[in-house]
Amino acid sequence: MMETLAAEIVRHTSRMYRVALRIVGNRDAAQEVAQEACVKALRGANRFDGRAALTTWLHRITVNCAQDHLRKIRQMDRKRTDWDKDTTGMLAMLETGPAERAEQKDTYRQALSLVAKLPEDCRSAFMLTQLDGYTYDEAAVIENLSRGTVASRVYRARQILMEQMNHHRVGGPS
Amino acid sequence: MSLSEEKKILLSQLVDGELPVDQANQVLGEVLDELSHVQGSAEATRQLHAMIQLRRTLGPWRRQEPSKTIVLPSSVATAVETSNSRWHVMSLASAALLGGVLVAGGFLLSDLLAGRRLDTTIARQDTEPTTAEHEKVLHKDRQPVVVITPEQRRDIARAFALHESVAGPLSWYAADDTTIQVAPAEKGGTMQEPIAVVLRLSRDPSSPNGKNSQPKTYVIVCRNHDMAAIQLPSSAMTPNLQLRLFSKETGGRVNLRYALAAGGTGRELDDAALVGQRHVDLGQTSLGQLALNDLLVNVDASAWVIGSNNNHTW
Repeated sequence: MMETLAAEIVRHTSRMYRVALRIVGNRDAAQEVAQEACVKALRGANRFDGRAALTTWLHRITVNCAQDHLRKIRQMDRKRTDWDKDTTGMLAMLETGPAERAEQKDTYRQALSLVAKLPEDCRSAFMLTQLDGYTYDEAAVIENLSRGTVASRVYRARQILMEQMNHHRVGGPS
Repeated sequence: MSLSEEKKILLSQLVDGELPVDQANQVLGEVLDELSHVQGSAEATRQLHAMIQLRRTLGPWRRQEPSKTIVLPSSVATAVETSNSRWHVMSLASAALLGGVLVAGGFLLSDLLAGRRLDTTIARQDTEPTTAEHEKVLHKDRQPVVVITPEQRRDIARAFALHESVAGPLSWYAADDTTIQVAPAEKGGTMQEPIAVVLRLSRDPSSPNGKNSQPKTYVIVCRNHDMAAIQLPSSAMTPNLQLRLFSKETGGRVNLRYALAAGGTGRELDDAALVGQRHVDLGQTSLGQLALNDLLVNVDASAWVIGSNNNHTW
C-alpha cells in the first residue's frame, strides 16, 4: 500500500481522539476536535516541516484544537477554573466513564484519578504511553526527551501509582 | 534481596512491550528463575504482576475509538495541492497523491454530483433503447429519467479505486459535491465486491420551488452483503440524513434494503422516515418520498456491481 500523508493521518486518528478525549472530556466534542485536527493538518500540510515527526506534529495540532475548544467553552462558563489542565477531560469522564465490569469500575476510576495527581514531570510521559498509546520513542519526540528519560519517568509514575493503589486497597483514605 | 532500580525500569519497559525480544526474554527468564528457586521474597515476580495489573486496569481507556469516521473533505485537498518549497520530497509526493485522489475523485464525479448530466439526456447504455423507447423513458411523466452511463460507472469505479489506493481497503465510500467520507474495512475480514449506489434526492414538483431546484446526488460505494451506516453530508435540502444500506447482488441486479432517517443520528431502522427494499439497476428506481418539514423529497437510486473479480481477503 502506498504510504501517503492521508493514510498516515488516518492511522493516527484513534490516538488523536484519545488525546482530545482526556483534554475535553466528552466523546462528541473529542470526535469534533479530532476531526478538526485532521482537517487542520491537511490544510497546514505545506507548513509541515518534514524534519519533525508526523506524530509530534499531529499531537500538537490535536492538543491545540482541544485547548481552543476548552477556551470557547470557558468563555461560556466562567465559573470553571480548572480548564487548562491536560487532565480536565479525563477527570470529567470519571463521572460518566465506561467500565466493562462492575468490579473493575472502582479500580479503573481510582487509577485514572491518581494519574491526574501524578507529579507533572512523570505524568505527561505516563499519559502519552499508557493512555494515549504512544510508544516510548514517540513520547520522547513529543516531550523532547531521550528515550531513557521517558522510560525512567514512566517507571517512576508506575511505582507511585502502584504504591498509592496498594495503599487504597489495604484501607487507606479514599 | 531487593531489586535494583535498573531492573525495575526494565520490568516497566517489559510490561509496555518496549524491550527488544532478546532482552525481554532475558528479563522474563530471570523472573522465572526467581520463581523456580523461590528465592527470598520473589520481589521481581510481585513487581511484574503489579505492573501488568496496572497496565491492564488502564486498558479500557486505551481501547477507546472515535464513534464515527473521520472525514477528509475534498475541499481540503485543494489547499494541500498548493504546497510550497518547504515541503520535503516525501511530503510533496504525499500531498500530490492526497490532493490528487481527493480532487480527482471529486473531478471524476463532478458532473454526476452536480446533477448536470443527470437532468439532461443520458441515454447511452450497454443495450441502447430504440429512439422511441428512449423518448418514452426520458420524458415519462415529464420527469427526466436517469440512466447511468458507462463513462459514469467507470469514473465512480476509478474514484473508489483511487481512494482505496490511498486509505487502504474500504468498507464504504460516500461522496457529494463537497465532501468525501470513507470507512476503513476491518482488518482480516473478507471483502466482498463493491457495489455502487447513486442516490438522488430531489424536491417533489409539488413542493415550493420544486420545479426549479437542483437535485442532491450522493455517490456511495458499499460492499455486497454488508451493512453501511452513513451520516450523509448535510445540505440545505437534506440536513442530518442517516442512511443504512444493505446491498445484495442477485442475478445482475442489486437488491437494496435501506433506511433513511432525517433529523438525527442513531435511529434504528424502525424509526426511519423512509424504509424499504427494492431491486435496483442502472435505471432510476424510486425508493419513496421523504417529508422534510414542508418539503416533499423524492428519493431515487441506481445501483450496480463494480467489477467482478474483487473478492479478496485483507
